Amino acid sequence: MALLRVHFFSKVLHMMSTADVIMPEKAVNEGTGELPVLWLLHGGGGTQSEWHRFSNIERYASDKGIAVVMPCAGISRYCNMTYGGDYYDYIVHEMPGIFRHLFPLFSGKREMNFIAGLSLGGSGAISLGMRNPEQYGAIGVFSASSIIPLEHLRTITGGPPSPGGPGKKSVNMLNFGVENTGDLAGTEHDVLMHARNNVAEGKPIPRVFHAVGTEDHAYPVGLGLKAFFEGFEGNPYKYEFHEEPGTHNWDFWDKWVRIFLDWLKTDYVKEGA
Amino acid sequence: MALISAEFYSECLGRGTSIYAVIPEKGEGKPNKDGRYPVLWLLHGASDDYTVWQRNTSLELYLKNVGIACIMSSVDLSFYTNIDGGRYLDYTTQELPGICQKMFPISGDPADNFIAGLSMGGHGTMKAGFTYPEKYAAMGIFSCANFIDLNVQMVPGGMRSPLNFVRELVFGTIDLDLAHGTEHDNLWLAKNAAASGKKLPKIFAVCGTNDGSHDYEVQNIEYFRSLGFDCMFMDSPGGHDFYFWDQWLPVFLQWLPIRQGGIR
Repeated sequence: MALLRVHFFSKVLHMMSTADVIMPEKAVNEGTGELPVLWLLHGGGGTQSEWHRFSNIERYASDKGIAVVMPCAGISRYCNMTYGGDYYDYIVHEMPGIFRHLFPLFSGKREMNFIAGLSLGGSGAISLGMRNPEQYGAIGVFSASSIIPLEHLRTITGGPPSPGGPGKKSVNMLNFGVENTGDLAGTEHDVLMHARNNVAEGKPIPRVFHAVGTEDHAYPVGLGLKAFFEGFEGNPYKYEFHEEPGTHNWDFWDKWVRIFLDWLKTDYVKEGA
Repeated sequence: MALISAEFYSECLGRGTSIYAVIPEKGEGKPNKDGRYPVLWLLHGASDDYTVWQRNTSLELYLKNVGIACIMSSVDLSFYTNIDGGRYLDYTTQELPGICQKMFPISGDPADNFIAGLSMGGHGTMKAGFTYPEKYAAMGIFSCANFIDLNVQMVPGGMRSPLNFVRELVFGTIDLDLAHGTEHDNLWLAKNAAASGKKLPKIFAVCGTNDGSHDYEVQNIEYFRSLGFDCMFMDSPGGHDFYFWDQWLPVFLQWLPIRQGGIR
């Protein structure tokens, strides 16, 4: 297996940026054709390296023959920030083209591209996935607690301190131009609205895998998300919910990302190259 | 240009290893009609590693100017030789190109493949290019002559000193005279390459006039020329350091026979 750090210029952010990549070397060398790609998102305050530093993702991905791209979204909530960079466009629209150019084995097929993340990255994964169902075949959500419009279910309120210091713009203001993310229901940031529209409009529907610990502060939001998906008739998202005693930590994510990759595999073996 | 650092397992070395890859981004460079870029395999000198060219020169700026990719690897003190501690020549000439051609959009066509290095990397360049002339269109030899002819003295510290110990590990003898007419003798390898009837790589060689290798290198190049190699030799005041190599790297890159592939 190969671990790569990629420094490249982003036109969207108009600056140099960094992403880490896991290349499943065995799959590369055996020449099995194009590689499935998992876009794996970090949590709040995190960066591109946290998944491979704190979990065994490199080993799991190598076993499964899947490439993993780990972007860095800064302090954004995977959105185009009101006062900051367009991280949503960067990850959804720009990075796939750049990375398929640098790594020609990366598949561009929907059914071989997946998006997942932990905590704020899980929220990002479902947000980006629901807004672009034609781009991702499956979505993995681990311990997400920031799902618009379920902000009222959050058990931690107040958000992180302003990066600019006391009295400066809050993270919510920087990201969305509002103080209260409850106000974002019905806007482009409303994940559940996109999820309903995708079904109503007959768009391609990604599968959704969701895991959260019962002692996690994200558990109530998790139950809210579960109730939403279980409200669909016929389970169009093939939604799977997993809960067990556990909290908001790497023991939980390391275990569940492995199970998630197992769950993904059936997808690309069946439909892939 | 994207700068990529990669860590992966090498079968030839029996362990994990690291490289830098500089790959033109979309719209940059001169990809061939398959969308793949010409590539320079850039070798480090003794006691250096895969990072030194990138850290001590404006490599990326120069590469951007000519529009090609570049791969830099680490080979310890191996002189790019297959030894008990690792098959470094096989790694450099076969395994690493295989891995990189799969991972990155670089060309496997010999017409698009160039190899160059400084000092011990110049030795590796000659070793690779003369052993496998069919793999490369051009070679760049920076501040290096046939090592076994340089009368390099043992350094203080006894036989366990790495720079002495390497003689046994790599050349199999303390007395480098005994290595003439073997795979460690780059003049001998050059003669074999010329006799093979294969298409020969072009050679660019450069050395500082204050460098102890200078006169040897001049003689070596004359010899290669007599064998039928197309050679260019340049020198200027300078020593065995990156001030010199950073001056000549862009000249070498401009000299490279890069094909105009056209943007896909």
